Amino acid sequence: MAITAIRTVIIYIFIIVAMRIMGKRQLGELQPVELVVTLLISDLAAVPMQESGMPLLNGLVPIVVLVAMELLLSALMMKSNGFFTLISGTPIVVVKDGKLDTKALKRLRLTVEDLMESLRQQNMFDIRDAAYIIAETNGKISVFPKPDKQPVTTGDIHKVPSDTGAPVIVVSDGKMVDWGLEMCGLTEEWVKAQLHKKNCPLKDVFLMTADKSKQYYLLRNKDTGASGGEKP
Amino acid sequence: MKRVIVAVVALILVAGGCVLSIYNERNNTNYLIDMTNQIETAFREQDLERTQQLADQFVEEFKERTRYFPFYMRHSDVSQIEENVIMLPILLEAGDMEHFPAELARCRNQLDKLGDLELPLWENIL
Repeated sequence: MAITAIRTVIIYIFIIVAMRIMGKRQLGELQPVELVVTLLISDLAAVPMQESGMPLLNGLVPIVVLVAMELLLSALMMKSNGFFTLISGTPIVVVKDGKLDTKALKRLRLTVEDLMESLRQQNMFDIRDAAYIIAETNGKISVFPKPDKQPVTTGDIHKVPSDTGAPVIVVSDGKMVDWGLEMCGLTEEWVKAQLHKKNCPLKDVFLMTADKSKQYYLLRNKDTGASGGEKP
Repeated sequence: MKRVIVAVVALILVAGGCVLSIYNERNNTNYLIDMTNQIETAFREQDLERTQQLADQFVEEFKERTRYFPFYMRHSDVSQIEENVIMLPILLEAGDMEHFPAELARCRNQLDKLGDLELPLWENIL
């Protein structure tokens, strides 16, 4: 039993390193070939965990080879469009200028029900509202609505607000978040000054978000669980 | 680019490991097969003292030379042969001269197969 436990720990660490090297793609955004590799790795890792009579290397070596091949394949796909097309295919236009291409649907082996389901998931309940529908290489459906069905933006009504950037976390659980500070161009000194003004030590901060315009939101530990939070 | 380098290095390491494991396996199984031939020669010459001595030595050598085999081979493949190898000196001590040559031949055959197990031959790959 100890052997199984130790082997599991080794494989667990190994898988984390392997996935880290493979990169940050979300599961839903995987290309079919990447999805297959991910499933294969999980399967390969499970076998030497359960079978102590099998050398650990017999599980680890295929994972190393798969990860390496996957990295080389993705590098090649980035270098060559032709290779990318060969491995991942091309996006297929299902609706063009509001007209449904039934041949494209057949090529994709998609039924109209499947297509409608994908549209509904994107808040489009009427196919007539779509100007373009494209089946992407990762299997997702992209929809571009007709001009009269597109939502109004601030640009359309000429009332564009100033760009304050997205609020990001600058302090989390009493600790400064460097990437957040860097993203909104703030310094630790600025954060400390704001906290000093609020008479709140850093260790008492549960969450602090800020944006480029130095607008911030502060949530103290004592405010959590209640409707707390302070703005400048 | 860094990831590509990692991938290439990983593949080179795997290839190196494969070559090393095959070399280790072939080298050691060939040595052990040679030992079985020596035991057989001594047995045929009716030199029982030398046969016993070689058989004892063979058990020790087997343990020593297959120490790293479980790193890359199924543990059962190695332990199955070990069970037969251990029998050889015991058969001699017990004076069982009928079964000894058969057990020795079995060990040699198993070692021969073990030596080929990791070779990238079509029959192994497919």
